[in-house]
Amino acid sequence: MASVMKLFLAWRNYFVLGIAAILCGATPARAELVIDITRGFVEPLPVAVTDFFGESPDETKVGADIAGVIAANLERSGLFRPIDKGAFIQDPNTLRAGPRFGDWRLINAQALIGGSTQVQVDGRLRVEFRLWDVFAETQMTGLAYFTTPTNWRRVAHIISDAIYKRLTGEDGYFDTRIVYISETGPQNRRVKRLSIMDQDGANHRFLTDGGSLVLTPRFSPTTQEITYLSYISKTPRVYLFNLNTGQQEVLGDFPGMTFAPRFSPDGNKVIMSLARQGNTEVYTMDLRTRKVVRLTNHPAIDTSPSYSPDGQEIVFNSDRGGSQQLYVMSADGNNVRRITFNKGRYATPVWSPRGDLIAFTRMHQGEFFIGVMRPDGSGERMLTKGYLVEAPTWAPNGRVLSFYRQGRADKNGTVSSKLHTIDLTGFNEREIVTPVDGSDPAWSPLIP
Amino acid sequence: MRDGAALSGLFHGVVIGVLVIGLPSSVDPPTQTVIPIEMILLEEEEPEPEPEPEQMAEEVAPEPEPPKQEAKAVPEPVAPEPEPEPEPVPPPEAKPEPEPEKLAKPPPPKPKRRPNIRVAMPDKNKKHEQPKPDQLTTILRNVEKLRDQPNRRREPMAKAQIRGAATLSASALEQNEMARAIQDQLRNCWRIDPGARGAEDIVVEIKVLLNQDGSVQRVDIVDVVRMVQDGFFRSAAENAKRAISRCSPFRLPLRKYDIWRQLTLRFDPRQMFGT
Repeated sequence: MASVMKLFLAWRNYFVLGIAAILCGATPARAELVIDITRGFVEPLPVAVTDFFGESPDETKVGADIAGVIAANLERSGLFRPIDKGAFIQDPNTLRAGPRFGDWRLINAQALIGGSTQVQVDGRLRVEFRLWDVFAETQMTGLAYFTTPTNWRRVAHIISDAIYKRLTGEDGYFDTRIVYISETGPQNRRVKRLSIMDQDGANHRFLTDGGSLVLTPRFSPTTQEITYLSYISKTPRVYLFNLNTGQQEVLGDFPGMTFAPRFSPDGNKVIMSLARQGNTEVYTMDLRTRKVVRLTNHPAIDTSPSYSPDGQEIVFNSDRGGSQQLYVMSADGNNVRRITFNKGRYATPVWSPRGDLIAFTRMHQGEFFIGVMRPDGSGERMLTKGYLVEAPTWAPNGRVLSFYRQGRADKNGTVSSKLHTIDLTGFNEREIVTPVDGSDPAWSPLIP
Repeated sequence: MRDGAALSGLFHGVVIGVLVIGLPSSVDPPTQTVIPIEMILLEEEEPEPEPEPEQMAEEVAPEPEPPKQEAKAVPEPVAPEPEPEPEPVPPPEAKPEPEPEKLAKPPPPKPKRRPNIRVAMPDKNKKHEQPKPDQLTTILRNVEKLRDQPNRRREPMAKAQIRGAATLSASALEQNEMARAIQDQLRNCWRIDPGARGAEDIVVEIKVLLNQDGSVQRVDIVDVVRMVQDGFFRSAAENAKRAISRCSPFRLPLRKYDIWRQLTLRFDPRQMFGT
C-alpha cells in the first residue's frame, strides 16, 4: 500500500511539474516592445518610370511619349519624384521579364513603372503597364488598354490615374480638363474667350470667339457641360455650353441679372445668384423641369453658392452680418449659419469634392489669399497669397486646387494673369502654362 | 501699268474681304472626343498574354489559369507573395512560435514575464536628430498665422509620453534606449503624405520580427481587414511598411537582441499635425 502511495505521490509530482512546464511555455515570456513612431518626413516618393517597350520605331516612340506624360503628371502632383532615366540599370526590354529589384533599390527607387506598346493587326494600340513596389518586391497593379494610336496621351493620363490611386488610395485627377477664360489685348479692351485644355495644358482650344464677354465658367460634375456668365446682347446671363455638341443656350430669361452659376453635385440643377430690384438672392434651377426656387431671402447680398458633394448643404457668401463672410445653409435654404469670423472679406467659396474642406478667397489688409477650412469653419489655413489671387476650383479628387494669380501692372500698364495649381497642404504651387493669359479656371470631373 | 492696277485691285479686294468677313477664326469647334478605350487587368509576370480584344475589363491569365480569381479577390498581401519569395517565407513563419521558449530561457535571472511596454519618447535628445526637410514642422502650410487655431493634438500626446515614462522600471531603461534608437532611425525612413484624406488620424500598427543583424525577417500589418477595405489606410500602411524596409538593417546592439527582436511599431502621425 505504501509503495502504491509513493508511486501515486511521485506521479502527482510529475503531473504538477508537467502542468507548470506547459504553463511556463504558454505564457508570453518574451517582452514585446511597443514603440510609437511619431516623426517622419514629407518628401515626394522616388519613382522610376521607364520608357514603355516597343518593337518598332513607332511603338518605341509612343512608348517613350507615354512614359514622359506619366512622369510629368506624377512629378507635377508633388507627391512623386521621377528618377532620372540616366541612372537606370535595367532596360525596358529586360524589364518585360520582371524587375531586378536589387538594381532599382540601388538607385533608391521605391516604386517602379514599366510597360509596353504594341500596334495590333486591327490597327489599334495596345498599351500595358505594371507598377511594382521595389522594397516589397511585389506587383501593385497592372493593366492593359486598347485604343486608337492617336489617343495615346489620354491613355497616359488614365495610367497616371491608376498609379496615383494605387499609391495614394485616392482617385487621380490627370484624365481631366480645365476650362478657363483666356485673356488678350490691352487692359481697357480685354478680349475674354472661353477656352479649354487638358489639365497639363495640352490640347488647348478656344470655345468662343471673344465677341462677348464671358466669366465664371463651371464644369458639370456629371456631364461634359459648362455653365458660365456671358454678356451676349450686353445683358449678363447664365448660359449652358455642351462640349460634345457645341450647343449654347441661355438658362432662363430672368427679370434681372443672373450670375455666379454652379452645378449641383448630381448635375441636375444650377445654383446661381439673381440680382433684382437692388437685391441679390440665391436661386436654383432644375435643368429638367426648369423650375426655379429661391433659397435665400435677406436684404443683404447673398451670392457665390456652392453645394456640398452630398447635395445636402450649400456654402455662400453674404454681407448680412456687416462684412462679407461665409455662411452654410441646408439645401432647402433653412438653417443658415455663419462659419467665418476673422477679419477681412471672404468670397468664392467652393466645397471640396471629397467634402472635408471649403476653399475660398479672402481679402485682408490689401492682400488676397486662397485658403481652406473645414465646413464648420475650423482649421482655417491660408495656402497662398498675392496682389490678386482668386477663383479657386478643386480637382475632382479634392486634393489639388487651381486658381489664377494676377500681378501688379508693369511700366507699360500691362497686367499678366496666370493659372496656377496648389496642393491642399499649401505646398507645390505650379503655373499651368497657357498660350495667353488666363483667369477663372474650372476643373472638370474625370472624363468618362 | 495695267498689271499694277490689277494688283492694286486684288489687294484692295483682299483688304475689303478681310474687313467684311473677318480674319480666319482660331476658335476650334468642339469635337466629339469620345474615343473608346478597352481595359484589361494584368496579373503578375506574364510572358505572352493572349490578346482578347473583346469587351472591357477582362482579366488576362498570364502564366497558369487558376490564379485568376484569387489575385483579383485578394489584393496584394496574399496572392502575389508566394511567387517572388518562396524561400524566405517558410522558415520565418515556422520559427516565431517556438522561439519564445528559447528566449524565455536565457533571461531567467530577470523576471520571466515582461509586460508590453509602450515607450513614447520625448524629443529631448536633439543631438541624434538629423533634421529632415523643413516641412516637418509645418506639415500643413499656412501663409498667414491665425490666432484662433488651438493646438488640440499636442496635449493628449504629451500625456501619453508622461504615462509611458512613469511605467518604466529599471530594466525598461534599456528598452527605452532601444526604442529611441529605432525611432531615430525610422524618422529618416518614414515618408508621410499629409494631404491624404484623414491622414492626421490614420494610425498604423505593424508587428516586426528582426534578425540578429538588424535586418527585417517579417513584417505584419495588424489591421488586415482595414487593409482590404480602406484604400487610404492601405496607402498609409504601405508607406509605413516601406519605411521599415528602407531602414533595414536597423543599427542596434546585438547584446540587446532580446529586447529589439520582436517589435510592435505604431506609426502615428498625429503629433506632426498642428491642427
